[in-house]
Amino acid sequence: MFTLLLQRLQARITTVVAWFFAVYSILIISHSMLSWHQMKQDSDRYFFQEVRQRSELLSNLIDDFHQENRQHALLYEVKAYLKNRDLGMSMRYGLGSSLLAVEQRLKQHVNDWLGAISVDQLLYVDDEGDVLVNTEPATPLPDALGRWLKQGGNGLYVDGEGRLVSLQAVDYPNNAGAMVSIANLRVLLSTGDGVNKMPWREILVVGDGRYIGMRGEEPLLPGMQQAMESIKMGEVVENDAVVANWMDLDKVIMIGLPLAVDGLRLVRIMPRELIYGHIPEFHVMVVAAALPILMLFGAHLLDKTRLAAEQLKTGIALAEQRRKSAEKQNLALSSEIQQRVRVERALKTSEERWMLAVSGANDGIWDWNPETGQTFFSDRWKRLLGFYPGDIADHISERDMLIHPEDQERVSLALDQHLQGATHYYQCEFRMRCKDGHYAWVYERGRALHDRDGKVIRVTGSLSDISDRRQAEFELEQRNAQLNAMFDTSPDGMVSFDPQMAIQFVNPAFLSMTSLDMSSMLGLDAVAFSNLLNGLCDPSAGFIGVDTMRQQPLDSPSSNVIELTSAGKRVLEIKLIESASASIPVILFFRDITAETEVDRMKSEFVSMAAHELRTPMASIYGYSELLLHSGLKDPLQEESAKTIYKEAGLMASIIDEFLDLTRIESRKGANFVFERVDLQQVVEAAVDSYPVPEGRAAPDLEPCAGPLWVYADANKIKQTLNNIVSNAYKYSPQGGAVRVALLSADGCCGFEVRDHGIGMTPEQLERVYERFYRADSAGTIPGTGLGMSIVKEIVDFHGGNIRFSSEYGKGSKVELWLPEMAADGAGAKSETSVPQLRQCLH
Amino acid sequence: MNKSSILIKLLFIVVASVIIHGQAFADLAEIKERGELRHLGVRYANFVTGAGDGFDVELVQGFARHLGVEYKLVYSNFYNVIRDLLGQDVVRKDGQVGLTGEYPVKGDMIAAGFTVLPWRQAVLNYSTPTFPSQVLLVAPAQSTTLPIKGSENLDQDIAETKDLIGAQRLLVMEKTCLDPANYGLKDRGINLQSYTKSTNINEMAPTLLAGEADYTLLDVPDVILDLQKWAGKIKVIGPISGHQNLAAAFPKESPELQAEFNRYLEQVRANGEYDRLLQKYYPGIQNWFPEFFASHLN
Repeated sequence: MFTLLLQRLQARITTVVAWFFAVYSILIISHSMLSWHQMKQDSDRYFFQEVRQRSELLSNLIDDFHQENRQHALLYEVKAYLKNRDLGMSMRYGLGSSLLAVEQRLKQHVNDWLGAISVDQLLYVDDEGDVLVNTEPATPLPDALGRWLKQGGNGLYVDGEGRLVSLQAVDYPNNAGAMVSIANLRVLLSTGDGVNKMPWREILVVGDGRYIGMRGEEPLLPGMQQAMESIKMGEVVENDAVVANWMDLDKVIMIGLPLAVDGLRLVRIMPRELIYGHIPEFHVMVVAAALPILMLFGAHLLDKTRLAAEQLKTGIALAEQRRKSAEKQNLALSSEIQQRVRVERALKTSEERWMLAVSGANDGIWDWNPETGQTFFSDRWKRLLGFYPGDIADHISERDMLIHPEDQERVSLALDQHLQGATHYYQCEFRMRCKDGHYAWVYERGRALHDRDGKVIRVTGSLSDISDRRQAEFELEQRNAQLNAMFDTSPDGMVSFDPQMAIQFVNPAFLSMTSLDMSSMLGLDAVAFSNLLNGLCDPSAGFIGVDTMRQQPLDSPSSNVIELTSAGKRVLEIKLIESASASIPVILFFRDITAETEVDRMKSEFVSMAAHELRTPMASIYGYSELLLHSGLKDPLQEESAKTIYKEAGLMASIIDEFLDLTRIESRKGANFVFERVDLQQVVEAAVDSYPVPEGRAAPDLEPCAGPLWVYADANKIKQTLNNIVSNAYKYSPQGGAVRVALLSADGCCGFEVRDHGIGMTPEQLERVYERFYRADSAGTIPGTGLGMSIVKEIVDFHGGNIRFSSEYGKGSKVELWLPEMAADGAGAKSETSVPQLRQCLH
Repeated sequence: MNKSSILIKLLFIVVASVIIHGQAFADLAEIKERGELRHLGVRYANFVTGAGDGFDVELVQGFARHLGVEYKLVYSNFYNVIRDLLGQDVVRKDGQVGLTGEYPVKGDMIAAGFTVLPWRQAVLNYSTPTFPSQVLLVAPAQSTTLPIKGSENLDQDIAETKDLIGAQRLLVMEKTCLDPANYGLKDRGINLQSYTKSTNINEMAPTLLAGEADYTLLDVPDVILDLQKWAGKIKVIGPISGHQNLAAAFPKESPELQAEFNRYLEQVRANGEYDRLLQKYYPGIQNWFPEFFASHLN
């Protein structure tokens, strides 16, 4: 047995030696690592001890400094001053010398100071912080001096300048103040160079993170304050990047310890090399520890490889024999395997394509075996109904249970018809219950596969969600029903045209108005419809046609009033609306205004008749009052009364005349106008020549024109407009001033303008200038009826012209009257198209 | 009187005259020839402490070194110091100042916080002022008289202070800077207590504290020291005089010595020695009389 053991060891001699070496090395290295930790702790401890001694020393020095200041508070000179002060001596006579004695004594103390911390400044302050004695008057005092005094006085502080301040209350009754000693903290700091001139530094960190170095307040680097605040008392901090960068080093070691002043810490910063330079780096130790393990592993691999090589050599020989016998069998098998692989690959490819199609389809896929009931439902099929893949079993009954009870019979019938060969495809729309319980409309299609015997062996199909479409169809039906109800019940007639301008729809109200029937209307084009409707009208009030209405400007309401005679007299107002809808571009609305028209006519007749009836007695009053005046009344009161009656009767007669004139124009709608081709220039010149100029005023100035201005107009009516405008110009310029008349011609239009330099009108007055009986002179000092400009407007409208009225309050007015101009050969006679042309030239 | 007695008297007069002239005041040449400068000092405040030092002692010692002669301090008192310088007593009567008698001349100059007073100027030559001063009214701490507040008007302060004395006892020292005649304190109904036990002004404050008077006059140099020494026991009521000057005094027959002292004084003021003496004996006096030091140092 021992021999066997030796043989086995001999075969693994490399591993055995490596094991021995590794155990030995690990023992040594583990001991070294323990030593490494011990050395590092010793270094830290030494560093800590050194800095602690240093901090204790500095604390003692600071305490000595504070104790020394305590002696100042006990100075005899201070007590002498306080006693003298209590005796009431004035500063000028006696007390000042006591303070001088204090000052001299303090200065002497500064000079004789023997403490390690040299005193820079000594002060004696009263309880309000006012300085009584200051050995360095030019040196600023700590900002917080007053606050410290109020907090109790005694204590050590570091002021905003990094100076050490000792406060010691003077022990004397009643507001004795305090002695203040100020020293420079920087003298406490040390610095130096270590091995290889590596610098180390000391700094003092004040409570709020500020720090004081040998050169005074160091510039605060980004992150320095956080670095200083991160130092915990007595804990060695290694390698703060900010501080290392500040000292231009790679790594630093820091430690902070408190000093005798609240919030003041001594921080010593050393290059890491100075503290741990004698200790090897830890990673070197790790590598050294890893080497024996690696060698052991290598030796083990070497042995294992060698043993495996020997076994392999034996196995190779045996395998060679087996290989030769198997080679023959392999050849046969190889052929069969290749064939099978090709088939399986093709099948797999086909299967993958099918699954890809199923997963990518938007519709759900199902595949039903009628014989077994086994059914494949694709994931999409299940998700369409809100189910997860695992919610539905692979059986046709799962689908049947989800079909709405009211639809099941219809679905079964459609499917049976297809399975029996009655239909080429199976398709049906029905409702299925979703997972959340609501029913969705679906569209199912499918097709059966038959075997050679005609037996159905498989039915495959798809399922689509058509809920949205069904909902849209439902809403459309509802909307159509609403629209039909509105059309059918509307009192106004409506006729709509399709994009080809053929009648698409006619409502019952229109048929009732016109006595036409629906069948004769639908499909008529616009021209035929226009002719058909025009044939039903009185010739004097016929339909101008759909096309003509469409050509009228957009800013003008496209309306036309017709008078039907075929089905009893009926007056219809037609409006054409061009819709934004492409399917119904034009709609005609017909409103029955027969009753309104009759009321207007009766009103006009009444007004006309009333005016006529008033005209006769007014003429009598007017005439007899004139006769009275000419008969020579002797009584002044009677004469004055007669004049008033004569004047007022004249004015009332004018109102009645102009009112009659206006109602006549309105009622006859220009039928009594005598339109003819006239030269506007001659008409205007004649009117100006014959105008009765008011007493004391100059005749109107007429600016001549270059040639004839032909218009299609009633010359007398045009003269009447000019007279009315010129009359206003004279009446509304009571202070005098010229009235100018000028002829105008521009852009196919012509006219005249009348200017005055009268009182003018405000914009508010201008807006109402065409209102009947409106007068800009509300005081009534200017005579007039308030109908003149209304008559002018009516006349100009019947001429297809336009008026432009501009005025500036206090400076005068200008009225322009424009008419369509005819060519010299007579072209451009009054027609319906002249109005838009006129507007175009005036705008 | 027989001839022999007359001869003896004449002989005595001759011998005495010789002796007197042999002790007479000397000017600069004689002092240099003699090789010694005799400084007449009075123990007073920190000018002449009595311990062989003091502001005036060190000042005159420096003058002796300046002259290249030995220094000798000859102690005197305020009653006799002029007699010791001039060999005659000063008589003040009806506003007139005169000299009388013949005495040995014991010194060449006076320097002892010696106040410049008009009656003294009638018989002495003063150097450039060496020190400022002012006479103050001082009372014990327990006195019911309260110190005046003090104002910018010195004359008003003086009048206010004098009025406070009333008919109470005021300790004075005649023939010195504390002589009440110098400040119009006579014939005001004040109970003047002339201090005669000693010629040392330093004794005035202890006498006051001993209850022998209600007030005392003291000058500023003495007050500076007494307020430290008896702090809380005495209090300054207010001023009795205007600002005064202290200076070294010389016989009118010693103009060269006086002139040389003035030159010496300029020299020590320039080289800082004067300031050193001020700091040593009267620290802070510059702040009490800033105008004096500003005018005499520039």
